[in-house]
Amino acid sequence: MDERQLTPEAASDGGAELDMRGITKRFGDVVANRQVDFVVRRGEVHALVGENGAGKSTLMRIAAGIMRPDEGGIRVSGETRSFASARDAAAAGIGMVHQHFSLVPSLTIAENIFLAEPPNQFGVLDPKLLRRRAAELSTRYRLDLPTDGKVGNQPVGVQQRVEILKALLTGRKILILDEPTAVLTPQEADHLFATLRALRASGHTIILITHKLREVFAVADRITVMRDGRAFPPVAAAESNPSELARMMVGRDVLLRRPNATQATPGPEALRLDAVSCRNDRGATALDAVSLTLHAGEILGIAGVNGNGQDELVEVVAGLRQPSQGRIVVVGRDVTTARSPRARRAAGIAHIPTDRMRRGVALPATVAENLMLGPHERPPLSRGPWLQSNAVRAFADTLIDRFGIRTPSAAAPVAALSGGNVQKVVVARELTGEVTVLLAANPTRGVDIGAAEFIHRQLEEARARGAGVLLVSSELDEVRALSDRILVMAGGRFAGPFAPDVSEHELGVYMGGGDRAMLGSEAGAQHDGAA
Amino acid sequence: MNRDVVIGRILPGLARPVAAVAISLAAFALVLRLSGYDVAQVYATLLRGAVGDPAAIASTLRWATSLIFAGLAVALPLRAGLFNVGVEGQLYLAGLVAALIGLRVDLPALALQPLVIVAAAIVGALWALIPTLLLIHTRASEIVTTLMLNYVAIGVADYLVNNYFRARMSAEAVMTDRVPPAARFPSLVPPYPVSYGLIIAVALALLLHLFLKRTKQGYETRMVGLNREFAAYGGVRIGRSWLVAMLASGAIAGLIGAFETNGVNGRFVSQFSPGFGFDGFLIAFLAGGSPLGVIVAGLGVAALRAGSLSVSIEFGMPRITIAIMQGIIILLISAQLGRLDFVRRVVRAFRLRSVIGPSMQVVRHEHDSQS
Ligand SMILES: Nc1ncnc2c1ncn2[C@@H]1O[C@H](COP(=O)(O)OP(=O)(O)OP(=O)(O)O)[C@@H](O)[C@H]1O
Ligand SMILES: [Mg+2]
Repeated sequence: MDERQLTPEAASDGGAELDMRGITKRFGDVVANRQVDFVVRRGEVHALVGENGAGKSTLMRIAAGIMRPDEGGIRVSGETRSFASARDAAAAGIGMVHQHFSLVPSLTIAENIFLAEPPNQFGVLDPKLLRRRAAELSTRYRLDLPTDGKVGNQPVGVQQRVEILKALLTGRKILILDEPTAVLTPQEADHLFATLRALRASGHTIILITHKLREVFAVADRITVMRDGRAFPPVAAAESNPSELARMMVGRDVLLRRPNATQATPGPEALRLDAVSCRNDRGATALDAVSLTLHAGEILGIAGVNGNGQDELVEVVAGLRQPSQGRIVVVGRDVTTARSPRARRAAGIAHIPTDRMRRGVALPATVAENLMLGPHERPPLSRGPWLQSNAVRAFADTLIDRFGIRTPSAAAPVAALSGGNVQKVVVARELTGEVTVLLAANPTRGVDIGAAEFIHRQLEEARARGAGVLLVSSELDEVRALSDRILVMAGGRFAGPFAPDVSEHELGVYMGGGDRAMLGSEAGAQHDGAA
Repeated sequence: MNRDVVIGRILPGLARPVAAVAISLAAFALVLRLSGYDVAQVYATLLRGAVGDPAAIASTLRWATSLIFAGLAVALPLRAGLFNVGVEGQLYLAGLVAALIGLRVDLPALALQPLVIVAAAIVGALWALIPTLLLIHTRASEIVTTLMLNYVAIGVADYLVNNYFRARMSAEAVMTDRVPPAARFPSLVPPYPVSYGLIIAVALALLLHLFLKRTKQGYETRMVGLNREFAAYGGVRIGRSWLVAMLASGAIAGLIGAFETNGVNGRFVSQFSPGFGFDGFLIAFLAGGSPLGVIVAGLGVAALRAGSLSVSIEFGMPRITIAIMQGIIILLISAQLGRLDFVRRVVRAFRLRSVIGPSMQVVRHEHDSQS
């Protein structure tokens, strides 16, 4: 690594806890970071924002020792450092929560937390000590984790907190969080911010990557905006505002709050659920005889705390989970016995899944291969048994262009895309073609404000074309801005419907409110008792 | 993950399999040295035995025929995320059927030989059908079932030959009579046993390459292998992809039996496969699952085998020592490609193979739903 001479100014910036200078990182022809200077002061919460693919995750991976920069140097607490691995960065007190989970689903939360260095007695693993230490940590940081539960059985909100706790063990000084709130409800996010403030008070330095400007101004002291691999000088949160920030990120004005562009014209029934029940992976009741009607030309919003049956609701309709009772009707046709995702797609159901990495994409496959799944069965993408490679390329290029997917080419593996661009690949695929019912689960998770605006417009256009859109989102703002009607999901049942102008407070009450809203897992557990 | 990143940095891209071979040659040199051999001499003999003269080249090509088939038979299911550990059994039964048709059916060569080839392919495919149906309908791990069916196939075939089809002249060896000339695949380069099976093997590799890259079914097969949940969610019929891959794999395995029996040996000989099914894994690994890569890797491993025969004759070295080198290559390659889902499953398969032993266990498919 090229150890650049640090400038005198940098050295004199006494309060700098993390000081990255002249960082450049290339991936082939893509320059992810170009001559980035990034300085974080001791004891501050520093927000790092910017469009999808701007280079935020790359810069932070370099800080956390996961990648090496092509050029540039790093100082931690004034000492020049060169990280060969995440272990080196951990030794310097830097811990990172990644954009995508890296937990072992079959192990318990406690085991995951101490995966790297299990507490031991003379080299022998001590399971009791491990469990006690995990419980202590969970209490100390007020994360409320069911530490004996298997990670695979936990809702995403809980998994996120496990990741945070893991990072806290290594991040004694600097804690980096890459879009930690993408999977959290506003209440869960507020809870996280309370934790972050407490950490800051105890001397931690925190770097937070997020696309949600509300959060930036709720918790950050200073903000660095990245665009196209470059970083602007930091601004103080107190001296900035959301629209100025948005302009810096995108390079043009962005409408942050937008009135509904098209009007709903509810038509005939597109999807009906009659008293549908199902179990979750743990065998507990996830949906408790729920019924709903979704009309063509309508966006029906489903609000709720993660883990209250939303995932199962979407999976049951998509054919990925079998109901234990009830009927599923698509445009008047009973599809309950058409069990496979294939059959449901044939009935006109498209699905943006909530966990894009699990089933939304095949990471090693190319962008084109990820975009063509489905349409590949029909002309023009194929003729007889043969794929038409020219048509495939044209198809992929069109979607890449229309959805603004930042990728070197259609032939690049999806694994090389930034998180938000992976999401755009999923959305582009599912919004293309004839859609009768669109299941959109957190469709804008992890995408930047410009892209979120674009995806929202696409949902409205799908509605205008006569699709019924089931919008499941942990973000109340999104649900309220887009939906024509809103149902609240709590404990596997619906409350509502509500009009879109319902107050956030009222929705919050129905979502369970208070402590329960912050504990996705508890909500599910309490429901089990009631069922 | 971290280790992959590091190794990925040291050995980028295509250099990997080459590096793996080079490292294992070096490691093996150390083994030889410690055992008191003259390393340079051994390697020179190895090279001469592989490509030193026409006979050596013919020997390499003779092995390449079956090894390319074997590599393809393993690589195709790998691309669908499956392990056909049953190539041994599939080729064994197919070899017996090839011999029996040769012995019992009286047709001109032009009709008889295609019949033998097709019948052997069908037998191999049918033997692969059983574990595939079990997999699709009961989720029984194909790793276990294909492996177990090897023992069944070998037992059944040997029993049949021993009791009903044993050669009249043979005292101790379990084998059938020689097949008549019409059923015998002619040599391309007499007197060496290199038949047109070699051409079929190479053509098949090209066809499979086209299949995977250019057809709908091939694309779906690859998506199933890369992320099964993604494929299922997108409406791909997983079972169909598995059936196609496994039936084709069994059929290709069957071709090994046909060309070994009615080509090289001229008769069915008990235990005629020196472990083609497992060499297939080495080759498919080296090739990274690519059919075109299998041609190259198959030739390479064939050269190694031909050369090692010379070495074992000249130095009185047990041939198993060459297996040590193959083992080292497998280790290196799997460590490097460990991030690929299918290789992760290979590694698990080999771990399984060593623990199954007498107590049969049925292993369920776990979801690799990490990260
Ligand atoms: N491993 C990689 N191989 C190739 N290109 C990469 C790799 N990782 C990142 N890139 C490219 O580098 C650029 C910056 O990516 P990065 O993940 O840092 O973006 P980001 O700002 O975190 O975006 P997002 O908000 O979508 O997460 C992108 O163009 C991306 O495609
Ligand atoms: Mg990112």
